[in-house]
Formats: sequence, C-alpha cells, structure tokens
Amino acid sequence: MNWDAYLFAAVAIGATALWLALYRLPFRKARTRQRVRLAVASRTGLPGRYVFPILGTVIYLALGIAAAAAVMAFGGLDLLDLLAWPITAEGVGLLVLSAVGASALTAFAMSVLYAVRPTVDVPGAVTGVRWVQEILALPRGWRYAVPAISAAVEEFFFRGVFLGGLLAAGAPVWAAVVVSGAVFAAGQVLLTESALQAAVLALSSVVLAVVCGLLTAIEGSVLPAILVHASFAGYYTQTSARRAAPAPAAVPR
Amino acid sequence: MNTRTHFLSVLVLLCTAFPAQAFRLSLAGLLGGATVRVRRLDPAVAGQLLFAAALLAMAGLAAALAPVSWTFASPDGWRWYAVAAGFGVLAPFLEWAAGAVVLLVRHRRLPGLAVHRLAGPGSTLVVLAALGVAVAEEVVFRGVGLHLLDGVLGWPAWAAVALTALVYGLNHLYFGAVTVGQKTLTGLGFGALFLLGGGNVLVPLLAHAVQNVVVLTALPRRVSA
Repeated sequence: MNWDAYLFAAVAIGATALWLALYRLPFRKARTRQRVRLAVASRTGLPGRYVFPILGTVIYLALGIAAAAAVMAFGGLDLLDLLAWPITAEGVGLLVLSAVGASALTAFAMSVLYAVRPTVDVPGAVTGVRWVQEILALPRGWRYAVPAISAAVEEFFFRGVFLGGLLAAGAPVWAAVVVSGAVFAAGQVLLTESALQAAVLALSSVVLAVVCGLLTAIEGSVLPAILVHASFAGYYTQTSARRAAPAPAAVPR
Repeated sequence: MNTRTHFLSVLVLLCTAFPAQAFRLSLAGLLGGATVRVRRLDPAVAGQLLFAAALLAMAGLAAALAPVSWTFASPDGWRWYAVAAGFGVLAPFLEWAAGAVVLLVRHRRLPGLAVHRLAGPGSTLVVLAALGVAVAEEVVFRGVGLHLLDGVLGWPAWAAVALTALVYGLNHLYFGAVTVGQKTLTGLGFGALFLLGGGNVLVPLLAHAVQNVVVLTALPRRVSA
C-alpha cells in the first residue's frame, strides 16, 4: 500500500466511525429512547412500536449515504464508475455462485460453532441483535425490505466506496479486501450486545467481506456484491426469526 | 500470473468449498415447509434426488466459471481407471477400518460394516442420487478445487491434495468427527488418483462412483436405530 491508499483508508475509517457513533450514541440510554419514542408517536400518530424501527433505519441509511458521499468526494470517485456493470453470462453466473457460496460458508461457520458448543442458539442470537429486533417489529413485507436496503447501503459504502477507493489509490486487491473487510466486520460487531451475537455477526461479516470484496474486484463493479449482500441479509433475518425460540417481544408496545 | 485469474480462482474455491451446507439448509426449509410434495415418492428419496440435482447444478456452474482447462485423457490409458475401480471397491473397507481404529482406541463396541439407516431405503433412485452426488463432488473438489490449487495457484501437489481432502472431509461434519476423518482419508486417495491420472477428473470420478455403488448395493443395512 502507498501513502495515498493509507490516507484514503484513514479517511474512510473516520467516516465509518462517525456513521456508527451518530447512529448509536444519541439513543444509547433507555430513557432517551423512551422520550424520543413518546415525542415522535404523539406528534405524528405513528404507533410507538414502529418509531425506532423507522427512525433508526432512516438515520442509519441517511448517515451511510452521507458517509459514502463524503468519502467519494475526498477520493474523487464517480458514482457511475463504481456501479456500472456490463451484464455478461459469466458475471451473472459468478453472482449466483457468490450468493450460494456466501450462504454455504456462513452455514459451515455456524455448524463449526455448533460442533464446538452444541448448546448455542444461533438464530436466537441473530434475532437478539437490537437492530434485528427493531426490524422484526415491522409488518411482514418490510422485514425483507429493510435489511435488504440497509445491506445495499452498507455494501455500497464498504465494497463500493471503501474498497473501490483503495484500489483506485493503487492498493493491491488483497490489502483492499482485508482493510475494508476488517472495518466492516468491526462495525457489525460494535452493534451487538453479547459474545455469541458478536461471534455470529463477525463470522458472517468476514464471509461477506471476502466473497463480496473479491466479486467486486473481479467484476469491477459493486452492483453484483450489493445484490449478494441484500439477498443474504433479507434471507437470514427472516429464517432466523422463523427458527429462533419464541421469546416475548423485546420492543415495548 | 494474471491477477484477475488469481482472484477468480480464490473466489470459486471459497464459494464451492462447502456446497453441502447451503443445500442441506435450503432443502430442509423447502421440504420441512411441505411446499414440495412429489407424489408417490418417499420424502427421503425425494430429498436425496433434490440434493443431488442441486449439487450437480452447483458443480456445473463452478466448472463453467473456474479458469480450468479440462482434460479427459490419462497417461497409460486404461491402467489408471483399473486402479481407480480397485480403490473404489476398497474405499468402504478403508473407511470402516479407520473408524474401527478410533472406536478400539476409545474401547467402544465395534459394530459390523453396514449402511447407516439415514442412507435411505434401497432403491434404484437412491443409487442414482448417490451417483449424481459422486459426480458433483469429484467435479467440485478434484476437477475444480484441486486443479485450481495445484495448476493455477501453484501450490505444491501434496498441500493441494491435503487441503482438498480436508475440506471434502469437513463437508461431512454433520455426521460427526469420525466421519470427517474417514472422508478425509478417502479424499486423499481421490486427490492422488486425480493427479496420478494426469489431471483427468474421470479417474477419481470412477473410484467415487464405484465406492457409492458398493456401499449402497453390496453392504448390509443396519435396521435398528
């Protein structure tokens, strides 16, 4: 890696930190959350249980897009350059293989987790993550859409802007995949509350970071990786909710 | 080396490393949800056929995408096919012996050589499904995996054979640690056959097909649980 790449990585890490801090820190206290919930619900007539799923998602997406725009401006990146994907039979085949491969590798990582400690409840851990809980409070159709849209924004930031910018700054592919992937995985782990949640999200984030990172580098566009990540997130949030042991609703009604 | 070829090889290797995982999970959801009901077909048999078809589709995709040059000729003509057939007949006994050693070390009672009841009922369709799985596994692990590691990424032959055998074994983690060891052992044999046979996937494929047919047709079935 050269100095340009190091500088770009530092700016992108700073933007990621700011994104997650502004998303998480203002609402870390239960009391603040309750006050915001009541304030929004009383002013808009929105049911209280939907306030944080909607508000949290909007803030997360807006901050992610703002972070992506800022880092793109710093690195002189062009939106169309990052997204343009000439559709070929080989590219579509690779997209399908990557989607199946990401889910196979994650499933294998989870089966190793079960083999090491047979009593763990992986689906329960996934549904226990706060943002997943919030999403699961939404009506059925939105439970697919919200994780998929969030995943698309994350993918655009980490594999499109971050990885693409590192490659444009002259970093080798392996270094770009490792650095952008490590920051992505660290961000996912920071949004968890228990050791098992952290392990599950870290494993699946590393799988996605490597598969989507290589796919982006090979195809020269982040679009196929966005499709892989979005389908992955929509699918796993759903199946985890279906398989987890029934628990009392964690989001206050 | 061309970097695109390099990273394409790594991506294909990673995505095809654990094919069974993806399909076991999705098929469990599909069949468990009772969305697929094939009439007049035992659900266990239907599951095996679906699994084989999914695995074959994935192997075909990997074979089409991987930067691999295919050869279907071996040095010394038929000789390696004969060796492969012999290995295929021996393989079930090798696996049984490896398992027996583990059980003896642990001072457990030694069961006779038999097919596990989860293998499903003895029918032509089950044998066909097992043949399909053998084809898919050899294409994925030897034709694509071993070829990419040994021929494209330039790994030493022994390391490439060892890694593909280990990954092939780990695909059977669902059946327990002993099975992983047994499958790694036969995986080493299939890998060696692939390289000795001049990188011709048909050689280990013959061995694997013979092994699966011997297991399902010649061995006695364990009836009790």
